Amino acid sequence: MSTECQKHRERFSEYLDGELGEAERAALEAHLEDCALCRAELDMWQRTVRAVSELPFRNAPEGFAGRVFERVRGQRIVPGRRKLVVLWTRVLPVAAMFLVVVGLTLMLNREALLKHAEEPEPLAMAEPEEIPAGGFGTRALESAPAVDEEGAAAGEALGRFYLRDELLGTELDEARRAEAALGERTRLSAGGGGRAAVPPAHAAASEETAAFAWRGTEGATGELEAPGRKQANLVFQQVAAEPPLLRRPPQQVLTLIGEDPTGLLLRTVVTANRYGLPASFEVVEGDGMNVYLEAPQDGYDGLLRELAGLAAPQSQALSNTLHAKDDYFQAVLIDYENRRNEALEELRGLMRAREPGRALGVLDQPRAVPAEDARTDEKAEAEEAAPKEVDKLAMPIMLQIVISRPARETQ
Amino acid sequence: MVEAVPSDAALVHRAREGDVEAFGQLVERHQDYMYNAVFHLVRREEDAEDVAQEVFVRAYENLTRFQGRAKFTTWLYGIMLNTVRSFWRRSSRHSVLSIDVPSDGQDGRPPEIESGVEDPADATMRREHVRMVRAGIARLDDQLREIIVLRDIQGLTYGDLADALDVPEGTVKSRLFRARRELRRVLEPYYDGVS
Repeated sequence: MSTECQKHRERFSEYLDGELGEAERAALEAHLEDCALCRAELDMWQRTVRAVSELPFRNAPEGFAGRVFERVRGQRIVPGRRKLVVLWTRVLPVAAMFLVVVGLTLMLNREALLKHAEEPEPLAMAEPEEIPAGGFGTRALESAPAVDEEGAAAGEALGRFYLRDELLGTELDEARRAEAALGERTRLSAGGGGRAAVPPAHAAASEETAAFAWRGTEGATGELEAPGRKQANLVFQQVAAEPPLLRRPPQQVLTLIGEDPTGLLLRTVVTANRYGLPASFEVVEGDGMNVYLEAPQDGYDGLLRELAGLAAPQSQALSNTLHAKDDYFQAVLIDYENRRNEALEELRGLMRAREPGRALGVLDQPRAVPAEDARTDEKAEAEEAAPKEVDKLAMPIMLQIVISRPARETQ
Repeated sequence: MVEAVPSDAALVHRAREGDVEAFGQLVERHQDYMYNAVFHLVRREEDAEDVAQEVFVRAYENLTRFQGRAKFTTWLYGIMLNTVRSFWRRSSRHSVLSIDVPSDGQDGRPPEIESGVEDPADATMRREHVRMVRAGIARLDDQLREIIVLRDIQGLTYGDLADALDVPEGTVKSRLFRARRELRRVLEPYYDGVS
């Protein structure tokens, strides 16, 4: 792009608003005559402005004015020097009339509303087949145990990590790219006497830098808002010494190794959040981090594969811990009721995994399809072993994700 | 015979003199525009309701400070911006936020400008389009998001923007330029996909 083009493009915004002076407008239009690139660029600007201006208008919800009245009822305003007690009874008839109008409007829209409600709304960026209705969902996060507002006990390194992802709603690939950029450019650091979750390094003064809020380890609060922002908004809050998510020891451990552990951490949390799961994490020595998830069995395998994919092209591995019990894995198996055929393929690996401490290997490699007779045997074994109690089905899987850098010698 | 509709200034005057019906009329008159602006800034229906209520409560409490130099709506937009900024600060400090529920109908309501019989494919594309544009706006820096919403959604003039944002008109121009340039950059991959 030439300097000439640059100069003219800087006037696009005012040009579109009709705010350019006559001479500037004529100069810009003359340039546009000759420059196809600038014409195309202007077209993009026009589409952008039009797209925003055409967003659906949101009327105030039903009863809004009444609720405002309710809040200010009894309040005094001070007009000039004279105090005034507000007599809201005089407003109510007006409000009532308004409510009738709004009510009618909503009734007229009701049919459309019901029609809309019947259409399944796909979950953002989630793969529908991995997230059955009633399994993982965006609501799960909202019902997560409340974070202790008073701060954690001194010396506790555990934190709870929530991500308000401004990117959801964008395409998956784009979001992932941006998340990767976020991981590269941002580091958590803290003020107010707390301890940083990740060794403070820098908060790049980039427009794409995230903002972090932070609660320190000793009840101190700290807040870091990097200039610019809004790729994402991370909210980190300390929790009590025994956070609910860690009452049970992990049953499986997924190890993710990558050059950018912070980025991996962020992407792990993004992924967990997308499945509606809150994640706890702790920082271990060096650059290592542990993330803990309590994941519903429904769709667990899909979640695992997605998490494992985050470490690509470097390495990841899955293993069981000594706390993994038989009935836990059996429960996993019978939860595939609706996808029995698919479950059979998973079964082989999972049955093998019933032996505590045994590594399951790398996830993203193609798995061998068992021979037909072996399948049948394993299916029979699984069905025989499967516990019948429904409560076991409901038990979430405690997953620990270990994130670390590759060892130096392997780089 | 045409009945005269009282101006905002007249209603404010009456409200300040103690006529609460007049304030009620102001709320009714401006609630939809104010709510629409708040909704596009905070993005969640339940937050939008709280913040928009707060705007009017603050306006009511500060009615005596309205000097009438600017338009009432511009003054109200100024209060709205302060309220939204407080909300942003509060939520970045305390909130545990769930993932954003995308698209229209995030509150179970349908997109509001839809009528007649629409092809389901068109409706889907339209929802997707709205989702993309909203997500794009959400990715903007706070200041840029504010100005995009006030100008391209609410339609404020440069002069009103300067008053509401309390910045010189030159700043309005440069900020709006940056906002649109950034949004155009963010939406470009999407345009590539649909054009």
